[in-house]
Amino acid sequence: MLFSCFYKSFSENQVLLSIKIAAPVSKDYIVIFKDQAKLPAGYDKLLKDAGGKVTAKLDKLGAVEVSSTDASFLEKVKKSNLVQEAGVQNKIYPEKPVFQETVDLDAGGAETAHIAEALMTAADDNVDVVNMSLGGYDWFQDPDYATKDIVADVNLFNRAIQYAIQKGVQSLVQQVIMAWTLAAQVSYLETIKVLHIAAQAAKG
Amino acid sequence: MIRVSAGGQLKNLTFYSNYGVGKIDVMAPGGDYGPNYDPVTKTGRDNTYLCLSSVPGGYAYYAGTSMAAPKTAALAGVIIAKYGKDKLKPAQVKHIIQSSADDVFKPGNDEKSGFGLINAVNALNY
Repeated sequence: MLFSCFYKSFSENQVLLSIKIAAPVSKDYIVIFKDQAKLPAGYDKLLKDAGGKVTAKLDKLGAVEVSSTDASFLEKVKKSNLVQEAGVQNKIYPEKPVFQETVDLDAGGAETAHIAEALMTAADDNVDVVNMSLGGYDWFQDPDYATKDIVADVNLFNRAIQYAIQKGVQSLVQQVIMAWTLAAQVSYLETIKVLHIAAQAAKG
Repeated sequence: MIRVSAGGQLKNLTFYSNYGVGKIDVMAPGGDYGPNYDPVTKTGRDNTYLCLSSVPGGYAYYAGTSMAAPKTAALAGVIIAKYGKDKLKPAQVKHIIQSSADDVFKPGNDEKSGFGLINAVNALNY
């Protein structure tokens, strides 16, 4: 168990000793199940037994976002034959969509699960064009990031993109490092719905 | 899905753009630092080769595939607008964008520009 101690000035001649017990570090994970269309029976028990707490369900993608303080969470989950992929969730920093369709991504940044949700929402809402410009997937290009723990994130995106494509959305994905967002060439098109997601940084 | 690489003012592939056989569908303007820029030493930069882009709050010159992808998204938008909502399938929109592109680099599909540099006028006259 971790302890941290610090002294705080209480008054000119008194000192308050405070002992804080550091809270266990919680991490966010993505767990993708083998069935792409729904969450399998018993998934919640599996995740709970592994020390995880479901924070978001992505039913249509057969995936969940999980928070856990258990350092061996991934190891436990990956043993299940229900699970196709599990890994640490990355955080990217998209700007809010600027066009007609507003999906409220977290202003300060968004986890990949939220982006996937935005894609699905857009597809369900008959959005015509999605522009995805998420900065570089460094973990594709840098062997240090090319671990199985990261791949779950990418798989989640792929499922969300395929979902959108099946719904008839034009989904544009750019792949390369560099950020900054453009551009409202289509903002005057009142009849066309466009979801624009762009990154300011590739990774948080 | 339309995969976009970023091109420069000289119809070149920018130094930062991804590319690969079968990985790119079209190229769109992304902007770069000009022909004398060396990305290794980061010298020879010419900002007049950057891409004028609308950004939150106004306009600015930038470089990136984040400049290129939305131009292609915009083209997809105007093509859809021309034909009417839900009239074209995604594959048809993609086909128009690819078929109307200016062929650059190797004839036909290549690893740097796919079917070429997008051409909005050609696409709307397709």
